Amino acid sequence: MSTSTIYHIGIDLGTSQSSIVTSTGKRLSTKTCVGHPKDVISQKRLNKSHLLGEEALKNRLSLNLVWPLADGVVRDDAVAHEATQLVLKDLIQQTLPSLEKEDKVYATIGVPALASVQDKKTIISITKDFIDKILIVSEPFAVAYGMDRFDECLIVDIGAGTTDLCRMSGSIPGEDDQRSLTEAGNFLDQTITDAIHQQYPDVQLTPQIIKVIKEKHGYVSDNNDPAIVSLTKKGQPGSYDITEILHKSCLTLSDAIGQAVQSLVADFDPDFQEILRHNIIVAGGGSRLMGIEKAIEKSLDSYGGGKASCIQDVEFCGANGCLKMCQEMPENYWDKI
Amino acid sequence: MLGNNVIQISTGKLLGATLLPSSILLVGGIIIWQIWRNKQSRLQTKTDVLNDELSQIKKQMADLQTANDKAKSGESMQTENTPSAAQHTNQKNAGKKSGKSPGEMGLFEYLIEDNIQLRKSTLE
Repeated sequence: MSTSTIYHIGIDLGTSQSSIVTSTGKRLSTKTCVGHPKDVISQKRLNKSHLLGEEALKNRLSLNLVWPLADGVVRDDAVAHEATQLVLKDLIQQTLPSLEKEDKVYATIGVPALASVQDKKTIISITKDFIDKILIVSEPFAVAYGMDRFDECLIVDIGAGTTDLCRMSGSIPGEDDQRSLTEAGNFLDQTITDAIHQQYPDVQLTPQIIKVIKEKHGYVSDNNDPAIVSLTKKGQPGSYDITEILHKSCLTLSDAIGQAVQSLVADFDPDFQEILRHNIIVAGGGSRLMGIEKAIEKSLDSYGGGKASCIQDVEFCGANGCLKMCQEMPENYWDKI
Repeated sequence: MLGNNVIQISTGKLLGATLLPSSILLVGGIIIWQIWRNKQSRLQTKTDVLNDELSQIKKQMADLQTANDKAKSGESMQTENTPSAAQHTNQKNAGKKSGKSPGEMGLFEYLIEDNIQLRKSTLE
């Protein structure tokens, strides 16, 4: 008689960062990237067929890096599919080391609010070999579920590939209740890069440098300390004042989010608009941007004001919601899939 | 002769006056450095011990969590080759979840239906 254990997992598969939370209490977050050795030398030095996450980023000069997700969904090519499989398998292996062949894995995976059917089908297809049952849910809805917020509130999940907004009103959110914007973390990185190059043309920048600058100095409030960063120009280091550049770039993101918030408030039931305006929850990596909640509140000034707050457990809030849903789903419902 | 003596005595006193305080300072410095270093190594040892204990506690917690999870899952343990046992598990789980409000059940039903449709279109 062979017995099997069912493990439940919640996964937030993100363009830049992916997180997993398991029913065994383990949780892990990693960069959603895979690196394959460039040539025989790097193959010999690394002695691995591929590296994942931070390890891949550290050794990126010896690797062909693959970021399999774009705009929050898996890119539609074989390389991206394989890379996504590797990332997900690794997350599961690391957090469920005692997983045996006869055990079962039930997973809930969060995807952008308005991901297409094709995007969802891709995830089901690439996980079918190592996840027994999978539930695909809207990422901002998973955040709301994790917080038990089914009443009137607005979730703003600022990721790397997309910013997803979901209006909760005590029922299952429909398409009209959700927005998915491409103005998100990667968009901001590109805007900052372009703006710096425009002002300092020969300055050397990489995505990693921009990410560090954004995470350290990014702000949308009216006042902030000067952002003086050390950059190289044709190899020569120098200090550059990018305070204004950063502010303007970050405002392009917060303005787009503000407009989406306005539209979701504007076409909501007038009797409940005030409650909605005062219950805005900002989640995702972008919520670390200094003053983002104030910028969203400011965007609602002409609507009568609002109140926004940033979630605490930014890295895992989506995965936590997915796991909660996964665990609370009755077994007989799982059997239907 | 007298001049030589005076020079010798003066030189000795001069050397004594300059070298002695320096030597005292040097020895004092070495002693203080030794005390500081001993203190640092003691602190490091204590930190290492605490870190070891912390990692052991973490490991124990993870093991307990796994055991607890396995025990919970034991209720939903499936016997792959015996459908009756699986059916029994399902009934038990359905009973266990019956504490859920109709709203929550409706939500789960919606999510499952949504995913069934998705899966069906995958198989097409």
